[in-house]
Amino acid sequence: MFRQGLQLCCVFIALVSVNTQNEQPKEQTGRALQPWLTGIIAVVVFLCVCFIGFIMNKVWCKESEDSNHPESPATEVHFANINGTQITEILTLKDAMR
Amino acid sequence: MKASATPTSTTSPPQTVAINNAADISVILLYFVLVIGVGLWSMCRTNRSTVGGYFLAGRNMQWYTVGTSLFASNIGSGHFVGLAGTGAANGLAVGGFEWNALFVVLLLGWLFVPVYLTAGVITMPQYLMKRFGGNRIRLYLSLISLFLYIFTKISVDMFSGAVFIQQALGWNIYVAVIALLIITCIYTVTGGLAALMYTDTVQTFVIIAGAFVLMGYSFHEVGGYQALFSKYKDAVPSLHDTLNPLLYNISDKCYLPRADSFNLLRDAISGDLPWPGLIFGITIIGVWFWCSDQVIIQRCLAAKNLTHVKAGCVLCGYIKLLPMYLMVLPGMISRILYPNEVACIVPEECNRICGTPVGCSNIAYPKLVVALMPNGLRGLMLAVMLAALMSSLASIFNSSSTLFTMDIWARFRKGASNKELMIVGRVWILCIVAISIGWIPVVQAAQSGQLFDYIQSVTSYLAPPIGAVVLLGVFVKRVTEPGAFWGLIGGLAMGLCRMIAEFVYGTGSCIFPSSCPFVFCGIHYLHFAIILFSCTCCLVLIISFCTSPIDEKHLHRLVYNLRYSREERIDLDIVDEVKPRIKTQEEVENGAIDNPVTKEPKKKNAFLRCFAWFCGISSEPEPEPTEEEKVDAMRKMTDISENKTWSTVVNVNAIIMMCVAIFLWAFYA
Repeated sequence: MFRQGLQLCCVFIALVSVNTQNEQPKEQTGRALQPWLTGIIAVVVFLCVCFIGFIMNKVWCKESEDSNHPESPATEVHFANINGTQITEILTLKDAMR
Repeated sequence: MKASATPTSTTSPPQTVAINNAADISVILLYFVLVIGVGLWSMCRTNRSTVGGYFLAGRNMQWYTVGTSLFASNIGSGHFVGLAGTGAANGLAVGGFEWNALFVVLLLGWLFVPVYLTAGVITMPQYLMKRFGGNRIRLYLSLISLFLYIFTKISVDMFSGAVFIQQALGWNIYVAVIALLIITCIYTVTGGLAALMYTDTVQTFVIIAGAFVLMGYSFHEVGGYQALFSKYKDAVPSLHDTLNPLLYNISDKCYLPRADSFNLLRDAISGDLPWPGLIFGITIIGVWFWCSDQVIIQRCLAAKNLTHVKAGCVLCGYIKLLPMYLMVLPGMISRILYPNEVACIVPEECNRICGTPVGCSNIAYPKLVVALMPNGLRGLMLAVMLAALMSSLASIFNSSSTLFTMDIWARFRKGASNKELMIVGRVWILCIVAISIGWIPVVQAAQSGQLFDYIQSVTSYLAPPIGAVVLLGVFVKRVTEPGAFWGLIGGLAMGLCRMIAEFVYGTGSCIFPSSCPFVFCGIHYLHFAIILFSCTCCLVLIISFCTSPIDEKHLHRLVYNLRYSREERIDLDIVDEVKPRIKTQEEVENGAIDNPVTKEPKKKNAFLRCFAWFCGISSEPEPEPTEEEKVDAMRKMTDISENKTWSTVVNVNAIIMMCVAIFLWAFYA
């Protein structure tokens, strides 16, 4: 019975403390946070996320640096052959769009 | 003579001609002279007989031209009327549509345009054809884009322009529409993409300047920024009792301002613009509008190089911050100043005020212009509205005629000459104009008279599948042609179910709710967009994994992962079928030399020559570029390498813009 009384007391104290905590911010602003404060917090969070993303990108790019390697000059000639008909179409398309 | 700005009595007659003084008329005329002058100058400037002039307006657009053109093509008179109207009726949240675009426009510049540029395409259907092969996706996309243009862009823009003219000049709405169309037709038929893009810059300035002036006047009238927020809750029409209790009853929530009027993020279930829809649904629609729509892509592809595109996108993003303050807040002010007209609720009263019984929130912005602006400035605002309308309509006409001639007509009429295609393009513009006029009554009555809701809901039913397919096509190599096609068809079926049900049952209004069953119309249209998008993605991926993959040699520079690859690409669209070759003018004329008598050049009379020059039809054979020049031009066009310093500058600017956007979202949430 003593234990039950102690538990009841604990619950009662918890309830009271939660109530008083809730009342305090409401008196100050009417809502949890000022709008501009919400804005600034959101921006800071976003910048942190960007920063983390940037670091991860750097690390990841360093690992796969070898796999990107550019041109063999021979392939550039192929542009005309492969895209030959496309060019004709693009040229006439430009006329149609004018 | 400034009209009285205090709330008028309920028996005030509708404003008739307000534009009838010298100041207004001279401002309007001056504006037209300016715009047509810039158009003609740009027409003469892009030399059509050089190689440079062949590709997309010369491909030398600067970043500021790109940015302002993107904004001007996006903002139409529908935005002025629709954003202000929905702001008047429901509060701030509709501005979220514009602020969401800030992020999507960055997606466009950083993720999608590099792929389009390096693929070497001009239209979206062309890109999809290269990416997937086969014809049906290209055809489907062209048809659906045309459909969407007509029903969401053209008719809406025409309707809102006509509402404006109706409020300003007192003309009948259809007369106003026809007058608008004549002006826009002249503008479109004579100009080309170069003219459009240069005049877009001018028009963006006019739009922003005029809207700022009106915003200044409206805030002054209502008593300042804080006064707006305190007075909006009291903006209630004095007539809110039913005139016919046997027929209907008007409940409180139909005419009282919403409790969450000043929140961007509203309740997910009971809000009129729930926050998951606002964040994810609009992004999905945005992926369609900004990243896969012909009108926008065309402008990005005309830029000098990729860095200019990115900078233009950042600029467009910054300008997109403005509509909330230029259109939504003035809409709310309009409700405060004229609650009996803008917020009317009794159907008979609304019918008397603006001609439709569902609601008059659409007149919010025009009402402000007519009542608050002094002479001269009123003419300026009319010029602003015409600027917004003409820039959007002209670019949509241009793009849709390109789509129709190149993707549909040229496919079925193989061997058509250049000249025939251009004439077909112009005739097509007349056809779509006629259809759009016929659709205006539907626009007027849909979505309880809230124009912006109408646009967004029709778009949410039809656009998500396209966005899904383009997104997956660019980023997922494994997606195949059957997957993409059946995903599109499945998505279309789902979307049509909802759309047809809504139009058949009617969307209803607060007083007369629609009898549409919950399974069709119960889910909010933005949530429906999310569901449709996910279903289409699943469908596309499932079918793609069941079919054989596209070989990588067909995909170089067509997907995001392979955008820097320098390997040879074997195009699927060559392999598949004999492409319709468009005959050059020479070939057509050579083909007609069966009777050698007509060998000498035909003498065209002066009138025909004038007409031909005006319409941009050139009948002299233009010098074809040499093979070398073609290759060179092609290489320049598909080059997506960037100057390191400028690239970093633009990236930093983009991050700053995102910070500003996030701050504003959190501020108004």
